[in-house]
Amino acid sequence: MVLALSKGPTTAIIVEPPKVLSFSKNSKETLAFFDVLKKAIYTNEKQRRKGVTRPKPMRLELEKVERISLPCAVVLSAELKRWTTHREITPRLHNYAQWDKRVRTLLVHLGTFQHLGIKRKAYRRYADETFPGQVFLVGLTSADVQDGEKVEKLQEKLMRIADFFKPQKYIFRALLEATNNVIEHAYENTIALKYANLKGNNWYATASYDPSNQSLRFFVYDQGVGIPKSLESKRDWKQLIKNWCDSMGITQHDTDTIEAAFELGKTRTMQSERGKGLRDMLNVIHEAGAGYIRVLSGHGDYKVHVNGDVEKFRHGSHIGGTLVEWSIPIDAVN
Amino acid sequence: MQLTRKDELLTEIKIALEFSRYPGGRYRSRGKYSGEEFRDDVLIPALEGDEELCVILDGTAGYGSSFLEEAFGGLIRAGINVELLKAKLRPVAENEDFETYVQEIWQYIDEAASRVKTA
Repeated sequence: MVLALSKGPTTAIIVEPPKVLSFSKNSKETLAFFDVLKKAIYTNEKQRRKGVTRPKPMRLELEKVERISLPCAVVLSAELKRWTTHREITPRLHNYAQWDKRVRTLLVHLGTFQHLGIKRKAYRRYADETFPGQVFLVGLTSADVQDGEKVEKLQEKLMRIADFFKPQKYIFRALLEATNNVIEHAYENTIALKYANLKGNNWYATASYDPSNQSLRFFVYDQGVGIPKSLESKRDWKQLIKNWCDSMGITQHDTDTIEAAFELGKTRTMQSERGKGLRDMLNVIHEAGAGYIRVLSGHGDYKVHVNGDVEKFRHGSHIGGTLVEWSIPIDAVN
Repeated sequence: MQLTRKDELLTEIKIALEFSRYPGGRYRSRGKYSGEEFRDDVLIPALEGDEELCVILDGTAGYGSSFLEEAFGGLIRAGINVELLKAKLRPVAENEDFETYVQEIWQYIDEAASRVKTA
């Protein structure tokens, strides 16, 4: 159950996530949780105590989470990181000894404890925690400009946790173009942002190694308007996407718009920078010869595998930005 | 750096050493080591001389299409003639991993030139 409770005028706002945080396995509750979390952050509710007005403390009850997917861990970590840069107070995490160890290690690896200003000695022992099925993550990195060095450092850091991996130029290029899309387009129509008082044009990125699934994953996330909304504001794209959807006999849901953008990006007729960027992003799985790329954006969820198989899902509410995920088997880069 | 190679005088730029190992995006306003920065601060001044300009692409983490298009296709938009570029500019890949970028650079130059012609 997702809750945002204000327990009286002088107590904390409590944000309680669902037991399963996953965009694919528990989409409705997961999206509702992120919405409540953002609302709690950006409403910035105040209270008056002892004659002084201060922001209400907030508490995030992560001990309730039994399962968290990697994409959700990335989004949660990014939201908490943004929180610390825009609010005077940081959310309280507590009882982390009682948390599910996967939830705890993912957030420790992503750097969330550090971003929230928790002293290292309080969570140091969890940094080296090992257990079957564990996934290793590179600390979440972010910027509000294009930064090739930060992008490449992700691959270099991934090498430290997956020593067989060698940085790949096509991955550098895809990550660079994905972050370029964020800087150029994600925040351009700020009116369409649900929480319009939010500042910052950040991209967030990380990478992971999953020994049990023998896979590597890369993520780029932003908190912007989403690809569908952004493309709607471009006259050339808007018409081409409409034509593509009409020709396929499908409605123009956000998922279809994302698919159309990738399909149009493959063609030589779409020579715009955006078209090239989408091709570069798609090219990762073709260069690797395996894997998939998944784009969650707006209400859309689109995944395409290297063999062309497509999985599509329509979410009931807006993810609050765009999450691009590449997954490739380690054999492809070994 | 100015070098003599056989009988010809040429200027050599090693991007990884003289610009950045981590080339960025398209525009200077969007972050450091952009294609625009490389074009305006490095390429155009180097093309002002009489020598051939040898641009060594190796040693970087790679290149985004935005960087390459703005740096090299942008030379045409900056008013440099395509024939002059064909005569003076020599993008070079010493390692085969970087060869694809040489073709891409010429593709961006040709595309930008054809857009200028039809404009």
